[in-house]
Amino acid sequence: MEKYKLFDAEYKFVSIIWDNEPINSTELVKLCADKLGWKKSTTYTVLKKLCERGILQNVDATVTALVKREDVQRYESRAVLEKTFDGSLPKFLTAFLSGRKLSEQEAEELKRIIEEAVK
Amino acid sequence: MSFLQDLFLTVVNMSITASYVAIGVILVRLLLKKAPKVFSYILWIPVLFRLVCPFSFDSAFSFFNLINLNAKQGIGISELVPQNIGLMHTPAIQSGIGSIDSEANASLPSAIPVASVNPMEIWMTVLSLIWISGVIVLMIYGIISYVKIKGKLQTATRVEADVFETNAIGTAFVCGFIRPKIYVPANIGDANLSYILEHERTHIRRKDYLIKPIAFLALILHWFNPLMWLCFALMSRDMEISCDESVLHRLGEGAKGGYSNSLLSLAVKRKGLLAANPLAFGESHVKTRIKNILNFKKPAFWVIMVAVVAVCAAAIAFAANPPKGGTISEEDKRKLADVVSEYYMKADPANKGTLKIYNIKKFGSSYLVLTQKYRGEGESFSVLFLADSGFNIVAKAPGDIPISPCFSANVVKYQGKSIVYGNFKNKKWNPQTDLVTDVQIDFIKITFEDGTYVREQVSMDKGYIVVVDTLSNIRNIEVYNSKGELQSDLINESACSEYDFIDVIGEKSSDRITSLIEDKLAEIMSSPKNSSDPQEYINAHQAEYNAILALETQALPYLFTEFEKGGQTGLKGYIMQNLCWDILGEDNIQYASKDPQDWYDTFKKHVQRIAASSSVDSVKANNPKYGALLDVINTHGKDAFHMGFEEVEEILKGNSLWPSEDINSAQKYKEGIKIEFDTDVKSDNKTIIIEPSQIIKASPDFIEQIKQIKEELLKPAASLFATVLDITPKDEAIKLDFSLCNISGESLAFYFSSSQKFDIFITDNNGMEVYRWSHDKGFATAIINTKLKKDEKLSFSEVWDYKDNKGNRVPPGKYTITVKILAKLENTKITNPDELTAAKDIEVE
Repeated sequence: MEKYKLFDAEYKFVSIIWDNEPINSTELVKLCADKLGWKKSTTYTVLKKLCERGILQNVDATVTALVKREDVQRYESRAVLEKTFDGSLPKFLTAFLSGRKLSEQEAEELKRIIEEAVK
Repeated sequence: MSFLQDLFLTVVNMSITASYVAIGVILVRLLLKKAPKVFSYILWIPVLFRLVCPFSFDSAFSFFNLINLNAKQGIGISELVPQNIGLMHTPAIQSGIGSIDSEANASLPSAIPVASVNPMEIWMTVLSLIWISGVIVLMIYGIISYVKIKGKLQTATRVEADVFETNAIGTAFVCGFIRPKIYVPANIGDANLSYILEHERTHIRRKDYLIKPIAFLALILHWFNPLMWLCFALMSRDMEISCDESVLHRLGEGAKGGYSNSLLSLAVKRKGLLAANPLAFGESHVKTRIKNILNFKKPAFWVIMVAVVAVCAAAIAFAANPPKGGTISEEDKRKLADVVSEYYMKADPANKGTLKIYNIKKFGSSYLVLTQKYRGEGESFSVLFLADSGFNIVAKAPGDIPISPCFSANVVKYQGKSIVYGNFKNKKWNPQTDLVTDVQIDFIKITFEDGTYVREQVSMDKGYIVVVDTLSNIRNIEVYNSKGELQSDLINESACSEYDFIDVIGEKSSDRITSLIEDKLAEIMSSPKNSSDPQEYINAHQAEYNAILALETQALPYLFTEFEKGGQTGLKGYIMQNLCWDILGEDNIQYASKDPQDWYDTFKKHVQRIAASSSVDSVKANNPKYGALLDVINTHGKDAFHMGFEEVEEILKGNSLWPSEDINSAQKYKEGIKIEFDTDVKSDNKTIIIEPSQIIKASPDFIEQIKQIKEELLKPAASLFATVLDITPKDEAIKLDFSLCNISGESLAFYFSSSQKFDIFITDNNGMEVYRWSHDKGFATAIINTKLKKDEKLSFSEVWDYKDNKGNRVPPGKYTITVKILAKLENTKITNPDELTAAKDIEVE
């Protein structure tokens, strides 16, 4: 069985369904608003997306999970984010407004400075 | 001029102003390095203010007083690049930095008059299109990135009330405008979370989530200005660092380590995510921030106090415009209107026109007032007055009123500035086509040969006064309507007259007019040296001559005073005579004078005769020019008169000839001294009238004259005659033999005014007259001329029969017989009465 990779928010969402399935979609919207702070549209968007990926199914406004909890891996990669966002920011803007990113060495040095300072 | 170009120019001007402020802020920021960063943060407010608000308030404390920005003083907008730069023949901008200006201005293409479209206008169109495109692109970019973030944040899950976590982001930030929420990356750990939340909540408390988008919008508008990008970056940094300080202030210095570790972990976690989105709170300059946090100490009270004062002062100085110096209070305007009105009343009492005050403008500490008072006939002209800070009119210049063109232009160059002024008309007439067209004038633009120009908003019914810092000649004046359409210009349709200010001399400042005329006269007389014709001197210095002429009646006191001194028969006299004639006009006399002094003396007599026949006051009221002469006669001779008057008084009083009634001196002063004598001192009448002019003209002479009167006239001539009386008593009668003997040593001519040549008075012991010879006799009035040679005698003989006037014998007693010879000298001398009488006492039995 193929392992499903879910983002943090998706994982939280699916967790709610595992805990409460089968669940009425209206009920689900209420639960998500309560627990995740989501709007109705957000809940439906994510639901639709996960249905398309075959993780959830929504039949007659009743939502059930198609995968088991142990088959799902919490996905913590940045790769997707970088693909979607980084390219849209002009390089000069980033450099100009935020300064350089920290290199590993600089991070290490800062760490040392902090330790010394608060010793 | 399109709306877009207007907008663009407004933005450019704001950008230039803001750049100055930004540089100032960056410098002050360096000084505040040790102070809490919140002060640096506050300092950006004026920059933002300048970037978005084209208006400001005025303050003498303005930072712009330091840099010589010739900002437009119209409506609080600092206009460095003029709105109609596209329409200028020679476009020019003023950045306040000379070298940049000349560089920039040299790069601006100048208009070729024949070209239908000004190349600068094309440039302006292109530039403003580029600008607006940039604004739109950046705006879209901002909106898109905001929407994208919002989309990613959609699935963020709530941790606390307003805190959401999501692994779609790499750093914590605040997002939203109305109810901002804090978004943190998922799984950053509880320890980190508490610090991060404290930081972001501080942002929310300080409304940074609103300030930053506004700043970003300003940045978008000013995207072409690199300095503003720097400012935005620095402001963002100050915002973050001051926020860090605020957090540490709340959490205490103990939190330094934890807080900086949280920042570091967040920074390491982040790998180029959303960091630059200006609408959210990303991390920036982590290294600087961490170092700043570690160095954080609660600032000493005095540091805060100093910083507060410095920041407040800087904020006001940066935000304020320099004082306009152009605002005049209503009360001051009223005062100026009053002095102008008063001036017209005095200078031109016959003018009953309505006084119009077209415009009032400040000129340094003085005021310029453009007025018109049309007498209803003749040429219509305006007058530009210069009034000093005490509201005294000190100078004036004439101005033209537009006739066929729709505006008039006049210029006065004064104190290194050109004062351009004139009036408007709502129609213009084209002499070529004979068409009359309506015009609407809302703006005037004046261009000078040296490239200086000004553009000012004007009102058609008000007339304009524009003061420009140049002495260059005017190249053109253009008038536009509110849409920027050219209505008329100087080159094709109007003319500009150049005038000089003519000093207006108040009563107290006749010194100034004197020095003015003396200067001008000296110039006129300076050349051509070889000429003997005064007119040639005048022709060679027409301007100077006209400058004196322009003083009109005000020049007369000086000229009359000079003539009053006498001896004006030279070149100066001729020039002054010409001036007097020109100024007097019809009031002059028709008289063929032999020289200027002769003319003056005759003219003076003419005026004095008029004054004598009516009164000095009525002459002054009806003819100010004659009044000026009478004033000069009085004022000029006043001191001399008093001196002379005292002398006269003393002399006359000493001779009991002073009139009994005490006339006040002012009356005497105006009317001359009128002295009535008891006896005939002149053959023609009994009065001597001493005219003021006599006294004024030569007071020492007059005193001498009075002394002569004393010696020759008032004191009886002595030792001319001797009268002898011999008495021979007879029975009941007494024979009187008496004679008048010429003892003067020379022959004397005298006369009797009637056939009576003598009289005999007899008085009793008590001095009562008992008998007078002439009592019962009649005499014919006739002049009987008589002559006595040296030592010759004129003898008479009479008999008195002791009878009184009534024919009764007088009682016995002592009586005095007096004989008086009624001889009078032919000249006006009076004889000593004693020499003409003789008396003897007798005893009547």
